[in-house]
Amino acid sequence: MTVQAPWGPEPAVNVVGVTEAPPPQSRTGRKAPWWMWAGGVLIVLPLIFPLVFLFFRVLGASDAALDILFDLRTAELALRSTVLTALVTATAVVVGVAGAWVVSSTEVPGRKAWGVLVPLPLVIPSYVLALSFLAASGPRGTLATVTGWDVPVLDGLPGAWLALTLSTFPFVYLMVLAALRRLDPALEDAARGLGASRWHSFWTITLPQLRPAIGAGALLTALYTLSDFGAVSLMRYAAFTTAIYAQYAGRIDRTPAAVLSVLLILIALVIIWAEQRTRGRAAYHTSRPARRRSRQRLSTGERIAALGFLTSVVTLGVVIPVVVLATWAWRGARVGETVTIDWGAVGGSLIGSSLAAVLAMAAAIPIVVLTVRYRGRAAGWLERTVFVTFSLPHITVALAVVFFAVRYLGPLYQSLTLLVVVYASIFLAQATGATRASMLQVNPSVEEASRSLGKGPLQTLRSVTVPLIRPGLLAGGALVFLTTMKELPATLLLRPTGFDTLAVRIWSAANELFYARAAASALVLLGLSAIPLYFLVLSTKESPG
Amino acid sequence: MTETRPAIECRGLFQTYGDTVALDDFSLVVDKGEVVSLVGPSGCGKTTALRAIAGFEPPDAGSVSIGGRTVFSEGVDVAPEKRRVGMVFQDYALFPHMTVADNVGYGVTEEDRVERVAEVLDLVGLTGMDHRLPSELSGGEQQRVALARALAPRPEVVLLDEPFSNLDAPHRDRMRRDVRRILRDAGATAVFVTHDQSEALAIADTVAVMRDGHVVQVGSPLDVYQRPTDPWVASFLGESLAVEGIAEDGVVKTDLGSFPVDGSVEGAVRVIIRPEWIIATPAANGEATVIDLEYYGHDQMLLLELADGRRVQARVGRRPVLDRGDRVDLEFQEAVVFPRD
Repeated sequence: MTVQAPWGPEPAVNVVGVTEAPPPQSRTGRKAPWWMWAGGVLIVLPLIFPLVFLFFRVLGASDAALDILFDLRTAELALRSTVLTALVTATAVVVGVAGAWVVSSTEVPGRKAWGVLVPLPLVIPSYVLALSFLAASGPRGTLATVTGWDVPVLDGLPGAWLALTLSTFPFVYLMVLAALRRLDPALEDAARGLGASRWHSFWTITLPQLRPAIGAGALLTALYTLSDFGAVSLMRYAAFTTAIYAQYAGRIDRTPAAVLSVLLILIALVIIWAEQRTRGRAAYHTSRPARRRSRQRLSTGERIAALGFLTSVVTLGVVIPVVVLATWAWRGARVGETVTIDWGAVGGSLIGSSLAAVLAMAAAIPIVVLTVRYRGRAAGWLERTVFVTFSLPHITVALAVVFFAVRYLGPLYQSLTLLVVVYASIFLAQATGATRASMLQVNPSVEEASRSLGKGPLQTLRSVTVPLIRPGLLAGGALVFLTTMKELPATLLLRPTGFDTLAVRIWSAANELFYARAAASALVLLGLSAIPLYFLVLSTKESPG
Repeated sequence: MTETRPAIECRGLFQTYGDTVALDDFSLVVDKGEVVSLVGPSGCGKTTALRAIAGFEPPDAGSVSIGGRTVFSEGVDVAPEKRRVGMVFQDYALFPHMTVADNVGYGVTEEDRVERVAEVLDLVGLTGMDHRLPSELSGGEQQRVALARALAPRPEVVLLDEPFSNLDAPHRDRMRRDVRRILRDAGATAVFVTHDQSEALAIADTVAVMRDGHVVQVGSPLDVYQRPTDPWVASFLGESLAVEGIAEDGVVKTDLGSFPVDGSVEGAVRVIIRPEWIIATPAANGEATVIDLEYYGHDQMLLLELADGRRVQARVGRRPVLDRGDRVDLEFQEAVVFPRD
């Protein structure tokens, strides 16, 4: 099985929208047909309007509402969010880099199996990891019931730190793994040949070359942690996102929630900006077709250490969650607690996710064609908007949409339509990322051939371009499906009355300490995630034309 | 008698990309049924010109008409799909997800499709390959499919962009002959772009030599080779030796000897001599020494050094049999003379 980073098979250098110049492809001097621009802009509008509106709303807020800006409590929130983000990013980088290096560059036993197992926590939502640690620890927890020990509850900062490290280190792992595979092994060999020790050559030769990949992975980790709502709320670690939700849910005047959202968006933008600044000068591209890397031999001690490391990562990230959830669900069923599968929530998750996937795939086509074929300033902005929206905390985007919808969209507010549009636009970057990779492989002269054979732009798109980018589109759709299924805060804020998803079910049950019920839903969610994963694996096997 | 309109008529095309001028007053007229090769060094704008005719890149100024219909000029810009131009791309650009038959039939209307596909596949010698996918074909076969696909909708003109550059040498020669035959049989008007001067001379009825964004000479292959309009065309189309001389009373005097010239030229001239216009005769005290020779079987190329140290290339037949260090006398059969400024 291949687990991909959530933005698709392309190296994530593009995650936040700095578009590195793609191969010189588009010579097309013609302008894109108007309807393609219309499509592209229409797709991006639902992203831009609410955010702009949010800023204006905050600017126009009364002084009383703005007081929250200078509240000591706000400063404390900022500090708590920053501390968590820093801790998680640091550990995720260490675990991710170490894991990738051991799996790709050493002769650790079971290398291939580890390669599949290590990134698996990626498909487990952070709040499910949090749930499983809460359910495993504490006096009522699995560990205490099995051993009879007095186990303290793992919550607060340590709990959030652990859960978020496990759900984010795969970002770093996957990027560094990809970078290690692209790395020219001759460099390290040369260093060794010059008498450098293994450690010395790793630190002085390999690590510096991995810097862009580590930076990109760390960026994703930091943004993810900053935006996370599910894990921090279950762990009762007050952070920006939980405060926004509390202000939103508990108050009549929602302006403080808007103010906090704008602050959080600004912090996210600063992180994005900082990462781009540090990357700006890095140009380490040695992309020679990978020659076989010679792998490091390990001494017995090193082998045990490597195995111990990988085992604990997989145990914490995959085994414990699944076992604990299964135990709780089973135990709950035995004592007669209602752990029946909630078909309404299953239906809600499936309908919401598949509609979002279809919409995102449809929206990805004009965006990708515009950015790959008709490169220009406008297309660049289109792409950047898509990526920045993806990077912003979902709770803030959802909140912006709520404000906007209440004011201007009337009947659309709390409709399934609006929810699906928000899903699709938040995760559009994943669909465009995967599709773009396919599109870059489509020879532009194939499209020109179609044109000169008498077919107009629309027919060319339909009969030539779309069939050729199908693998990327499918992969993108599967990714959107997967992440939409896990999505929590936007669903909480925007779902129609009576509309439930598994994510909402898991979170609210866990929040009310009904761990058995939450565990059953979580297991169903994990099982359903296998569907898009299957498509992803399929799409990586099927290569375009 | 009805006046036949040219198949392609380009007038004063200009095209710039930032600071680079790709087309600079490009004009070209191609008659119906004519096969024209557009040849020039890389970067001279040949492909841009082809793409302007096909409609992929509208030029900044000028006009293009195809079959007497204006497809580009001020305020007019007909979309590529409405120009009736068949295009054969350098990389063939076959639709990888379609069979040979679907590729070839792509531009043909539904009712004619089956019949026309069979007809064109027969023309290019690929009968029976209908159900293959492009990935299952050799380079030469892909080339034929690309040509068949371009010819199938019976376009006004066929444009070929460096069509043979992806084939290896033996296939290239054969495809060149085949493509020439296929275009003749189809009665097609064709323009093909190449940077290879021997290919340009071999395949076309008419050669248009391009430089710096415009056509500098148009003529039959024989014309442009034997009677280039300037020294640059002369040296671009084949090996040549340039010497300075003075023309007086129908004779040019150079330090390599004297040649007769038609009386219209007077004064300082530049004389262009091609290697095969030189006759080398072995002579014990000859004026030139054989420095090196390349023996090709059908002929040989001599590198000669003159008494003053200048070096000259001469293409001679299988004989005389010479060796390094031998001395020869030189005689010049032909030369082209240009006035020198």
